[in-house]
Amino acid sequence: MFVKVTRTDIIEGLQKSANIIPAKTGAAFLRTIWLSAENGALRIMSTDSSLEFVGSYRAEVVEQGLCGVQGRSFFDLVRKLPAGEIQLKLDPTGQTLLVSQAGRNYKLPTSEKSWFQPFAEFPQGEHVMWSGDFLQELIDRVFFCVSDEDTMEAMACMYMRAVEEKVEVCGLNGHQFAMCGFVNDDVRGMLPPEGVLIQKKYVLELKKWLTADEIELAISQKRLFFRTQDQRESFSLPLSYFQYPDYKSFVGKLSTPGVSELQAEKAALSEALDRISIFNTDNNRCTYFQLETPGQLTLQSQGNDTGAATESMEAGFAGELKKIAFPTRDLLEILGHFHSPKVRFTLTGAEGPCGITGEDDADYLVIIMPMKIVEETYYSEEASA
Amino acid sequence: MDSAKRILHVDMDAFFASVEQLDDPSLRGKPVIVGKGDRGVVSAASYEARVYGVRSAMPVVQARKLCPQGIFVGGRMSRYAEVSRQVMAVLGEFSPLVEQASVDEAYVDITGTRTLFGPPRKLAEALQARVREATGLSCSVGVAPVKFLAKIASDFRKPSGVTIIEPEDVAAFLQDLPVGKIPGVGGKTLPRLAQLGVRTCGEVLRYSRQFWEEHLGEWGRVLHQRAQGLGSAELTPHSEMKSSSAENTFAKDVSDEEELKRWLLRQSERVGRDLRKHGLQGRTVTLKLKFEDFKHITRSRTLAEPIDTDLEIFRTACDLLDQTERRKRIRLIGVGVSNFGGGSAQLSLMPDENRERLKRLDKAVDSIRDRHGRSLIKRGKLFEGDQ
Repeated sequence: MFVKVTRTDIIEGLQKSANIIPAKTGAAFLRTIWLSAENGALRIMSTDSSLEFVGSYRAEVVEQGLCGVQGRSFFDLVRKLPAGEIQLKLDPTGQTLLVSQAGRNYKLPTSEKSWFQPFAEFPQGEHVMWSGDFLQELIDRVFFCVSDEDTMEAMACMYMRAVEEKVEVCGLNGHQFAMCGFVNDDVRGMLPPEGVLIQKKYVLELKKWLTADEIELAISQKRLFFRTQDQRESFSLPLSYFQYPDYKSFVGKLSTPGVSELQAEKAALSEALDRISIFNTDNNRCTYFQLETPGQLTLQSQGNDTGAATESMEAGFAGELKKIAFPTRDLLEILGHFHSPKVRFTLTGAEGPCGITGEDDADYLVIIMPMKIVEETYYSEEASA
Repeated sequence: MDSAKRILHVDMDAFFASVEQLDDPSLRGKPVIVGKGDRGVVSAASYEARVYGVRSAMPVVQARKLCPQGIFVGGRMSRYAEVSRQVMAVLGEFSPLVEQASVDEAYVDITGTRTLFGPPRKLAEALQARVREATGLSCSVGVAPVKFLAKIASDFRKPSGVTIIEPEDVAAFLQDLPVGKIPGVGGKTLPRLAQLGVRTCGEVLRYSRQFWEEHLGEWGRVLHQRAQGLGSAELTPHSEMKSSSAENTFAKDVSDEEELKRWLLRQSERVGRDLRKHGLQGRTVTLKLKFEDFKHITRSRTLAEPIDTDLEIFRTACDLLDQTERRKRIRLIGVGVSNFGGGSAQLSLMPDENRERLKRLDKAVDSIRDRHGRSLIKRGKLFEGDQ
C-alpha cells in the first residue's frame, strides 16, 4: 500500500474513527484503525465490535492495499503534524507503516492483516434523507430521561417507533419519561412495526458523529446506518431487541377526568427552583408546590442544616390538588428542555404522574413522578394531663 | 483560664483479647489471639502474643507460625460491643462530647474541664482508673490539641500509657516523629516520601505546601498541615450507623458462581435484618471481593430508591457480581448497604407491586426468627449449599 493524502482531508474523519476505538483497554484488534487505499481514495475504518465507522477521503493511490495500525498513535501523530501532504507506505514485509511528511519520518507497527473483518455495508436500495440537526435535537430532548441501567421499570435505550401518522422517540428512567413526536412519512415507513431500540452508549457516539448537515438513514434487520449526503462517511450501530415498557399505561393517566392543571412562567419558575435548590440536601432534594391559594403557586423547601426557602409566584391553577413535591434538580433540567415561555403541568395526584407540556413545544411531553411526601416531625411534646 | 482545645483519645489495650482474658481467667498471662481458622485474619492479639510478633490484621496462618503455642479463639462481637458500651458510658462521665471512633476507640473533648478534673494528666489517670473499675480492662490515653495527634499520643506508650502533648510542645513532638505515624501515611505514600528523603514529620516541612500538592494532590496539602500539627478538633458525638454490612472469608477459595451467590444471599439476609431492626433503608449497595492473591475490590451501585428487603439487596449484589471480572478465585465476599436517608424518595412511574410483597415476607420471616431462632426458617436456595 502506498498512498498520498493531505492532512486537512483526513484529520476530521480520523478523529471520528479514533473516537470509536477503545482508548486503552480492549483487544488489540479493536484498537486498530484500518486503512485501505483503493480507487483514488483512502478508506479509514474502525470499530469497537459494535459501532462501525467508515470514511472515504480523496487520496493519490500509488499502490492499492490494506493495513491496520494502532489507532490512537496514528491519530495522535497525524493530529500533531502540520498541514500538508502525508505519505503512507507499507514496507515490503507488511510489518511497518511508514508515515512521512517533508523531512519527518515515522514507522508504526501494523496489526495482523487476518484481524480485518469486513465492515457492514450501508444497505443498497431503500434509505431516507433526514436532517442531522433535527436528529440531534430529538436526542437532546429525550436522552436525559434514558436510564443508565436496564431495570424492571426502565431501559438504557432510546426508543423510536411509528404510531399512526407520527414517529415517537422516547426515553424512560423509571421516574421520568420524555417523548418527542414528529411527522416524517419516509422515516415512519422505514421503521419496523416494533420500533427500534438504540442503546444509550451508542446514542452518545451517534451524537458525536452527527453534524447539522443532511444525512441518509437506513435500517437493516440488525443495524441502523447513517451516512453523510456525499456518501463519504458512514456510521452504523447495532439495534437492541427487547420489549420496551408500555408507556401508554402512565401517559394515559394524564387524560383521565379529575386531573389538575397548573400553568406557570417557565423562566420565573426555573429561577425560583434554582434558588430553592440551595436549600436542598442529599436527604431532602425536593421542592414542595403549595397550590391552595388561588392564582398563586408557593414553592418551599427546608433542610435541617440548610435553612428554609419560600417563594410565591403568579400561576394559573385548576383542580383539587393541594400539595405536591418534585425533585428540584430534575424539574429544573426538564424545564431547560422547553422553549415555551409558559409550561403546563398536568397533575394526576400527589403521588401520580405529572405531565409537562408547552405551547411552543409541539409534540413534546415530559412526565415526572413526584416525591413521596414524608411529613417529618422534628420536635414533639407530650400532651399534659 | 486555659481555653485551648484539648482532645483526649482513648484506645483500649488489645481490646478483644483482653475481654477474652477477662472472661476466662485461665487465659490470663497467656498468648491469646482472636481469629480462628486458617483463612481469617487476626482481630486482636494479647500483649503476651505480641511478644512473638503477632499483630492485628495478620493472616491467622502466619500468626500460628510465629506463635504456635498461642491460644486462638473466635471473636464474640456481641460481648465486645457490650463492654464497649460500658467504656463509652464511663467516658460520658468526663465530658458530654464523646465521639466513638470504633468499638475500642473514642475521642473526648475535655476542653474547659480543668476546674472539674484538674490538668489533663490527672484527668487521663482518673479516666483510666474508672475504665478499669467499670470493666476490668486497661486503656491508653493521649491528649493533644487536635484529634489525629491525640490518636498518635494514645499509641505512644501502650499499654496503660498516658501521653500529653501540650500546644506549645506540638512542634517538638512532631520534629522527629516518623512520618508513617500520621494517619493515612501508609504503604503507597511511604516509599514516595522515602524517595524524597522524608522520614520524619519535621522533614515534611522542608518542602512547601505547593510542592506537596503537586506531588500528592489534595492529600499533599493535608500531609503538610498535619506535619505542622494542624487538624480537626471537632467531634461528632453519637455517630449514627452509616452502613450495614456482612462478609465471610471462605475456608477454601471459591470460583463457583452459584456458591458465591448463596453466600451473598445469606449476607443479604443478615444486612436486611439489621437495617429493618434499626428502621433504616439505604440507596447504595456495595459488593466487596477479596481475591486469592489478597487484592480486594469493591463495586457499588446507588439505586433510585432506598431499600431494606433481603431480595432487593441480594439481586443488586448479584448484578454487581455478574458485572465484575473474576479471573481469580475469591477468598472473601461481602455485601453492604449505605447511603441512608430517612428523607423523601421519588415515586416510580411503574410501581413494583412485588416490593410490597417482599416487605411483607421479610416482616413475617423476621418475626418467626425473633421468636424461634434464626435456623428455624431458611430460604430453599440455601438448602442446596448445605447438602
